[in-house]
Amino acid sequence: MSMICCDMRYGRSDEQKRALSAGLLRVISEATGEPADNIFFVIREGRGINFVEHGQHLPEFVEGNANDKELIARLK
Amino acid sequence: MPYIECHIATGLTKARKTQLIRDIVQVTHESIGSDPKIINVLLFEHPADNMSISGRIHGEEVPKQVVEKKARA
Repeated sequence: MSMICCDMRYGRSDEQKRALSAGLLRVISEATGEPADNIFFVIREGRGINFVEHGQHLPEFVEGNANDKELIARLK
Repeated sequence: MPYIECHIATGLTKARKTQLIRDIVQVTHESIGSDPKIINVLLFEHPADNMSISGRIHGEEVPKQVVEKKARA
């Protein structure tokens, strides 16, 4: 009876969301031993400003995670 | 970002939880392309009695009200 939530910025494709869902349900099912269709999963999306990471508000998501590289380069 | 919150029933060993976290980071990276350095995972453990999916109570096969409806039809 696992319940999973994923918060992320707007912009991922439906295909990416399906891949994320399938992957998460698989690894959780493997860990807990329950069938994947026993697991509830919800994706919650928001603007970049709503996420603060390493002391910085995130930029909006750009396809291909292009601008994440600048953020990661600045990580301590 | 992304932030993945995982509510599971208590009972996994420390090693299995560590592996689960690694697996969650890996499948998230593979599926939506986020760099592992910005993937955040939080595991919550609950007694199974506190959890209910699709109206089911832990240990019960089918929710009672569904069974009663069938009996009356």
